[in-house]
Amino acid sequence: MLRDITLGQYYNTSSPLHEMDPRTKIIGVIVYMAVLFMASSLWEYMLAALFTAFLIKISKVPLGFITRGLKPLAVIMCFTLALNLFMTGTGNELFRWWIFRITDDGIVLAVKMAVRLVFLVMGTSLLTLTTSPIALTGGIERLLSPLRRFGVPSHEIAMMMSIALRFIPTLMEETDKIIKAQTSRGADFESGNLIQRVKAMVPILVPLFVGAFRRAEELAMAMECRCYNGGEGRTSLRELKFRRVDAMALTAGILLVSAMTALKLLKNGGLI
Amino acid sequence: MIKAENLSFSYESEGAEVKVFENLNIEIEDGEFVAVLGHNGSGKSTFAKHLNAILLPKSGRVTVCGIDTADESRLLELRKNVGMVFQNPDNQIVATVVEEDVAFGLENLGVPRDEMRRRVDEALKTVRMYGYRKHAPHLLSGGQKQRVAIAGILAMEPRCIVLDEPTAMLDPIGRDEVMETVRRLNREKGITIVLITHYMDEAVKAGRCVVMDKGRIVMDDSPANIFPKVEEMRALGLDVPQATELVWELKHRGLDVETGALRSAGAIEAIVKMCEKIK
Repeated sequence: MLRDITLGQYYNTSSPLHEMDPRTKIIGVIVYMAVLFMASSLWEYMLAALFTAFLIKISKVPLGFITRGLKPLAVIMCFTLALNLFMTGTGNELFRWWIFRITDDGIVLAVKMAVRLVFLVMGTSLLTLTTSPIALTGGIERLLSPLRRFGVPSHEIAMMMSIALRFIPTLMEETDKIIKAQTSRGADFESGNLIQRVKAMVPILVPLFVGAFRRAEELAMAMECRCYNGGEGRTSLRELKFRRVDAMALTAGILLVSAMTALKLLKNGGLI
Repeated sequence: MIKAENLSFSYESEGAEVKVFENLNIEIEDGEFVAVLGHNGSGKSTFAKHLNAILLPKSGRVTVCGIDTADESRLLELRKNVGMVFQNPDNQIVATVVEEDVAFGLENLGVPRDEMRRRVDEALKTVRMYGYRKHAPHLLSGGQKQRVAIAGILAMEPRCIVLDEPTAMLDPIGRDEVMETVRRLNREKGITIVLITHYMDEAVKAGRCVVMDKGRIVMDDSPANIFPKVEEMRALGLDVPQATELVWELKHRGLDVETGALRSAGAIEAIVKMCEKIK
């Protein structure tokens, strides 16, 4: 059961988004997020929606994969929706019960927030869906490397991330094994209240942690044996190259930001 | 190639000093295939760890490829020349893609990309894992993972590979794959192999067997001279290959059979001869 979890959630196909340099994509996502938070009027939301739809279209990732990422967010979504709905004090009152007031401003704000969250999740999951974990860590390492001089351990961060990714399936398998071993000895993980169930996890976690530390020690030794001595003077098999798609993405990003700014200016000028 | 002189090593455990070995002397020539045997606690693994300076001798000295292992300034050069493969294949693979893992050592050494590409591909072809270069390591079998680990070492173009019980966690098929690879590296590339093992069927394939017991070298000879000494081996807590054991037991029970066979083919031949004589 645990083995079914996929690494990250990379969807392997070939598309302009897949070909893009991970650095471009990471920066792109940051710009995209900023643009989403800039949006306030209906027209601006339309623009963001159009752009998101365009990205999904060219990514060649089935829509189902992208919406699947929204499911775990349902709780947060309901929470923000409720919060905005009930806690907005301004605007015309539409409905009142006890301490709860719903105003038209509240509804507008709640809907905007929800739409913004949906776009946010869709956009960011596009990053993980179109970038393999190893490319992602490589991209992060390179993007952070200028910060080295300020003491940011960019290589170490990337190394830790890629080792974590490497060991997720291994530790999953081990967890599976431990659960089976404990179950066969009569451990019960399925019944009882929440506290009892949490307590039942202890016999799984202890061997898992002991095992993980032993693995870490062995891995460290193996890495040393292969001449690992930090990020200094390291080269890389993977080549990060700025290609035409990246230039196109950059143009698209600039266009998006300027369109958004233009819409804002038009609105402030009272033109739309 | 490898030379240990008066090597001593001990560690502290609960305040007491535990001696692993004292005054160990051994010399291994370039291109040799040496199997190191011994039961648990004989010091064979500790010895292996001295060959690329994971452990440093308490006294005496170890020289490999002309480099003193205690010389810290030449540590990287030493480790580039002496590759090490460990028992658990999962705990020595670093990257999430096979070829990236093979490149790990080269990346550490700062090898330029073109050169790296060539050496990674060549190493993967040598261990016959080229077709899997884009795979995720956790989806491979134990034998395949161990071959990837060997490729990672091989890419660094070492002169010597030390394998510390590389087949202990593998199934029989995986064990054969790894052993076949190791023998080929020794035969075709002339790489010196030091194989720590407790499988006697693997030790038979080596050119020389070193038997360790309580930190001492008690036997050091060719497999053909070591394994027929069944009683001595048993006294050391070691098995002998099944073929050797069979003919030895037959002889022991009073049958007129030639002992000394190491492989099943040899045992069959000896038994056939015995039957003919009886007729």
